Amino acid sequence: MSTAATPRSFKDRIGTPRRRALVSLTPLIDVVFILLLFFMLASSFTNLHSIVLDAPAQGQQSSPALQGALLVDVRLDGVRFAGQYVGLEELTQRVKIALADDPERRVLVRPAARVSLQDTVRILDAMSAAGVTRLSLMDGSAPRF
Amino acid sequence: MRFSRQHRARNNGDESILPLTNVVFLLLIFFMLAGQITGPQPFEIDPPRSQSEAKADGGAIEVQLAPNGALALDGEPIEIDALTDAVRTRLDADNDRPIRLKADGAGDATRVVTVMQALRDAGATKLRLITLATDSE
Repeated sequence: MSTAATPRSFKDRIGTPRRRALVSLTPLIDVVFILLLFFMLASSFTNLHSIVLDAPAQGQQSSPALQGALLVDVRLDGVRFAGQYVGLEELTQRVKIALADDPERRVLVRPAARVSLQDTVRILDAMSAAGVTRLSLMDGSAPRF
Repeated sequence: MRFSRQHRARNNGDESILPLTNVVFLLLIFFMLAGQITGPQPFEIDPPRSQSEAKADGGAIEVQLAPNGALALDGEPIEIDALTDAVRTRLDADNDRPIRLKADGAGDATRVVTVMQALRDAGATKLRLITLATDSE
């Protein structure tokens, strides 16, 4: 009886939710659900990384940077460096030795036809591990950059 | 026991969905902060695995290369002859914009080199080859 007589009391407000809800919660939740669905579907969680393969600056194309560059051939049956097939370990060692004289030396990786990108990237990784900073991919048919 | 049942019956209005709203808000904030919005992908691409530590740049022009050699520029399929001009137009607006090349790991490496040369002909100087971290497998 006392609650009915004092409509502003706490108990009464809970008892009559319609009076209290100036803005209903349901449309808000609808919107939030839609936003949630959007972000769930549109976002991706794959951790993408990248390999830097910058082109040399213009006008530098036939400069000394290209002379003395190391050429690594990636073929279907193995990796060739300086005219012979080498293993990945040996390749890393030899590139390291070559870089000891000139750390700025450019390394060209030249994949042969039908070599998959994954195999080429493996060689690029090995070159990065050997400390090569200036790395380029090169087309076997057209020796330019 | 009796008390709790009574309590629940009384709060049958908006009150009972408040915990649900809280959880949904938390999920929303999680997906907003943790996820990255990606554009539409024209074809399924599985980038090569690499130990490279460099992060992929945002705000870059993205060139996609499918395993069968099909090309797309920012999600729109394109031919390699038209690629150079299209990229040059985009680079004219902002010369320093990096280009991300997202190629499939099973694709031909020579095709990637051809595309890279087309991009360099367009005047691109900052080129990134997109890879996946090896531990994300």
